[in-house]
Amino acid sequence: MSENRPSPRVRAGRELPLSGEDLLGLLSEVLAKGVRIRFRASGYSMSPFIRDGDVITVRPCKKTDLRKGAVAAYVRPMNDHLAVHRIVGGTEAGFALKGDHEPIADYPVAASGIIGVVDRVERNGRRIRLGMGPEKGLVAVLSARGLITWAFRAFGRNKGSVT
Amino acid sequence: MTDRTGLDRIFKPSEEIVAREIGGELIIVPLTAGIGDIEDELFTFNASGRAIWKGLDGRKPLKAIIGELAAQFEGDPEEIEEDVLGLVEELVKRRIVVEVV
Repeated sequence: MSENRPSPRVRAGRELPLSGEDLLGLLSEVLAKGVRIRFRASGYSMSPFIRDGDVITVRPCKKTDLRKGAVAAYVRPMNDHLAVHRIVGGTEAGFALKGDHEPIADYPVAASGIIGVVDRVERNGRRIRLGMGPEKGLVAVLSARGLITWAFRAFGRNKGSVT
Repeated sequence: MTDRTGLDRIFKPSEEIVAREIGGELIIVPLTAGIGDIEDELFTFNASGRAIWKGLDGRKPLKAIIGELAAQFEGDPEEIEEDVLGLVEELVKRRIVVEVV
């Protein structure tokens, strides 16, 4: 054995080729222990608030966290894949969750399918707050109507940084 | 080495980790300060480390693990003992395993 001395190897998670299924498993297991999980987001569905490569932290959620505007990690009913999208509405049948950059919401998503909510977004080492603070209710309204891109064009560019 | 841990001691995975097999590799996520950080710091094992990890199940004393590995790897038991104790010491230091008391 000594030729191959046992030792734990420290690795950066971003080096691992995590599939969506792997990530969902890890997320579920870590959140079930009541602690937060920090990982690199991939994809463009939540652009411009969460961009491909941003690092997000998801925490376990209570029912009271599941409000319009919150960004939640959930299991998509259509394919059982993990998604991180915004709550844009809901009825007794379940929640409607939609990527801010996507045209259509997932609906209905049962509360039991929501495994956590995003409480931090980091980009290039800086915390990104836009879309995650008190304005998130308004963002949800704009997102539900497909007006996020329009809003950014109308207001974001003239205000300088949108983050 | 024997004095450091004692071969009758039993260890198990800490509650402060999540261990999961991904792509044929065992991944250990430490849950430090209320957060499981899979962006920055994870742990994996090489083949021999993984064989030892399997034995750290909260039931077997270290000497039983060493005996099993000596039979499995047909190696020098003293070297294996040294490897097991070295790894356990490292894992305790990193709070990946805890002693069963």
